[in-house]
Amino acid sequence: MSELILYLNIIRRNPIYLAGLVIVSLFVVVGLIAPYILTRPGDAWGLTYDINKRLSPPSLEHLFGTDEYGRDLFNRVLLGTRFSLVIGVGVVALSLAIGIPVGLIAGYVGGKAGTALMRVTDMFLAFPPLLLAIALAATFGRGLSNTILALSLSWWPWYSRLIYLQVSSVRNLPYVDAAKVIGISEARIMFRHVLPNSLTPVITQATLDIGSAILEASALSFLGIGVPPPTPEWGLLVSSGWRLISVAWWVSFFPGLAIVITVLGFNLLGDAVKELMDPRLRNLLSMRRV
Amino acid sequence: MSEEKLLKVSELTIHYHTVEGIIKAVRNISLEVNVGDSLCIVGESGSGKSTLGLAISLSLPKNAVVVSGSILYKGRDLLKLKTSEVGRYRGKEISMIFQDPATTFNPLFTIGEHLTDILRHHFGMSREEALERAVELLKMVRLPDQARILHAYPHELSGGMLQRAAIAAALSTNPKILIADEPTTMLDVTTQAQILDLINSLKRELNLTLILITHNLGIAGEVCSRTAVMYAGTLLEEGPTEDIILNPLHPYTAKLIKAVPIITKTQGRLSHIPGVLPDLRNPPKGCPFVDRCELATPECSASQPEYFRVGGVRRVACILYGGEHE
Amino acid sequence: MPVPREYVVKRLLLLVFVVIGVLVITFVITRIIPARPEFLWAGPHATEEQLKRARQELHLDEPVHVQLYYYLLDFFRGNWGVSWRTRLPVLNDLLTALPATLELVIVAFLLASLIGIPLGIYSALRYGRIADQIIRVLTILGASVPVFWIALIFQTAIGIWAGVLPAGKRVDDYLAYITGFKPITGFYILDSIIQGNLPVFIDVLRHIIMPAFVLSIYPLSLSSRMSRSLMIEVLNENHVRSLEVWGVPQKTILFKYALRNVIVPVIASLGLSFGYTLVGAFMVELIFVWPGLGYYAGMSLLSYDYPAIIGVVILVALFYSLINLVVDLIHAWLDPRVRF
Repeated sequence: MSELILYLNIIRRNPIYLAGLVIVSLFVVVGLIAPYILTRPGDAWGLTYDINKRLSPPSLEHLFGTDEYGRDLFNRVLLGTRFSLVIGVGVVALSLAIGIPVGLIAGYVGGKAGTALMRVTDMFLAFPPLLLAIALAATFGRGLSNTILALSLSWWPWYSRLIYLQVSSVRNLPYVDAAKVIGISEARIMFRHVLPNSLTPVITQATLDIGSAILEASALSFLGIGVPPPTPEWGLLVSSGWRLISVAWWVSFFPGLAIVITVLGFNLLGDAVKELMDPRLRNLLSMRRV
Repeated sequence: MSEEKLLKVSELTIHYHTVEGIIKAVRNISLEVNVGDSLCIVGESGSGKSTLGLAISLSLPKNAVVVSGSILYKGRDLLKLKTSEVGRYRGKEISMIFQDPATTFNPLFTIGEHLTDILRHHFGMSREEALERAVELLKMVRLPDQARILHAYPHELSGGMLQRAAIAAALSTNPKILIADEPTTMLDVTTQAQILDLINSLKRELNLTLILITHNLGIAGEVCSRTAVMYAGTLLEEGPTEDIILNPLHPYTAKLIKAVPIITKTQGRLSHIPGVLPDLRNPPKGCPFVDRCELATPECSASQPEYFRVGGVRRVACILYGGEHE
Repeated sequence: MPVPREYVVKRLLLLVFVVIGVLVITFVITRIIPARPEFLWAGPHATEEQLKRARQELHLDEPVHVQLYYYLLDFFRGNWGVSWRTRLPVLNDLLTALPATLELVIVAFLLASLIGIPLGIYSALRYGRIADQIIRVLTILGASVPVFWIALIFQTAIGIWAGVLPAGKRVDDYLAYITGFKPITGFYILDSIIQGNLPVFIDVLRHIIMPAFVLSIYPLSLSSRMSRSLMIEVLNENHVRSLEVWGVPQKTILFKYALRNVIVPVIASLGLSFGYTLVGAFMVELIFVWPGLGYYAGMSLLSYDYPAIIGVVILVALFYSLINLVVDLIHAWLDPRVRF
């Protein structure tokens, strides 16, 4: 806990890291309250349209302009935050739910069974990122939960690997042996002692991965195999403005900007955490040569 | 024979600027080294002995600041060299080897590549000439099968072989002074003895001036004629090695001698000196050893003790020996 | 230094294992997960007759292991199914499209390494200064931008509004026609050089530069960030200090010794990002009407052309494994410690 306070203090002092923290906090808050602060909920949910106002450029009335059905884009992008939050957290949570048990079992059991289990996860990693998700999404069909499922099924092996490496290194620490000697059961060692030690880095990594999950989900939507219209998912909004971009740039521009800012926030925070967690890099702050 | 000093360090003070604050690593150190001398600098880790070595070899890290003092080499102040002049001294006049032979060479290049690059730069040799000379150098450090070693990558050689190769690299430019920073600490006991033997005989053969940095007074006894004891960035005592080991003056030196690991004594724990090193960001005003010294008096913490001459060839910074001022 | 044969053999065996793994996973995705796989394979408007034929072709009425056997057999015979959209065998379509994509991705990777690595090293040498901070934020930004969005923006701003560069396609068809340009290898840069056709060569470069740059943004950021942290790390290594003490000039230490410590792992990780870039090419090609694998994949996805989608997935995964093999061998060749 005191570590966390220390980190927060260091982040606070660096404007770049602070920006990351602010963006991510804002994203979470807006994502939670978005449905309740909409000025035009009908436009946001895609239930209403106004042909007379179609493709109006940004103005005080419509900050981000309107789309081809005359819906207010600001409201749609705002509600899109909720979808990105749900997808990002959903993908990461589901991936952890699959990845942690697999990695834990493989790492703790060890031996041939453990190796075999890790070989299976290696096969999943033989697919480039996003590709397996594309295959799965195309098989499942469009939909919010299908998108989350497709991304999670292609995502979990990363966490299995992380947990596996953690567990197999913790397993060899003297205190685990000592616990066995004094007669503590394997299951108890595994859940009470090994798991808590291995979880922190994996959960940290997963939290920072929310940004990448949002990025990949938006790519699926753009390719037409993610969330179906009229959901105001950011990638889908960009795609809806694609053919109109030379006459109505704002339709694609603002939702894309929302993706950039959100993902940037997570990546800045990730960079901060990486630099803070790496003792070598931390020392470099003082011991540089060149 | 002229009595001009080869190396004269005067009142040297060096600070490191770090995120944790300014670390006063070396404080007001003066030393003299004659041609052909062998001087040991003995101290625990954190005593500033390595910083002193890096300063003399012109290789301080970027965050080190020389606050005051001078390092005269043949009468020239090395700290006042222009950037263009540094190359004439670094490696060429004063060279250095380090503690961990496994990380001394770049893992992606062969030993031969390292050696020939040094030779080609210093002597403008062609590749073939440099290779020929590299073989001679490896012979000089008693490495067998020189052609194989030239083509070997660092991870393919043992620690002892790498340290020999490092000595070859350091001596390839015919330096006058060799600084060896804990050259045997990372090696096993038999290899340690071999490397020390090698350094000893090369020193005689090449008429080298040697500065050996170590935490182990036993090694000082085997190699060096004179010894300087450092603690918390200051020099506590200096004199002929034999005198220092048989009759330590400073209470710290006496304790350090008790801490020398003796292999034949398998029983009993290594004796260590109780207490901790002072915080070098804010070193004590008086004698730095005062907190760990059993003979300390209130006077000790009042101000830094001056050096007192003992028996003409020794000096010690301890008020116990007051009377004969330097 | 030659790479030991055992390492190559070991690595090849791993490739075989991975290829089988890729095929088994795609089998599970396409045949086991869907409730009625024939619907996916025969298309949305398939007749009862077509569905029945699809069931037969896929051996869906037989046990799973028999299905897998025929699946693998078809794969190795090159029978990858027929696209509904183009009505051509999927493998033919893919092989026709492959050179265009490879050309684009290779140019993107050249840009990524030629810009990214020097940028990262410069940033490291200016550690903590303003230039370093700017490069750092820019490269983090580069890794955060959705490729389809930045592609649209570049195309609109530079290609359409400013009209400085062509907004799409690989070559001006009219120019190619009047100068008698004939694709031979499918790599237009190479083809125009072979034919000594300078106007087409320039036109091809003008067409490729924008999509290639857009595609390179992610690997460029990656290689720059990695070079930066590696360079900082390497400069603090003992071996840099020892060369310095032995009087080797800074220039040699930096650009001969330290540079290799940086480049070897960066190239390895660029190789790993190749797969990501190939998938990014799906969107970039779709937007820039670049008739490669990505355009084919993108069109297939937009029209739910299932056999074509799965064909692309398998091909790209295989390609990715192959690239990883090559990268590992290069890595082993450059870094003697990797060979074990």
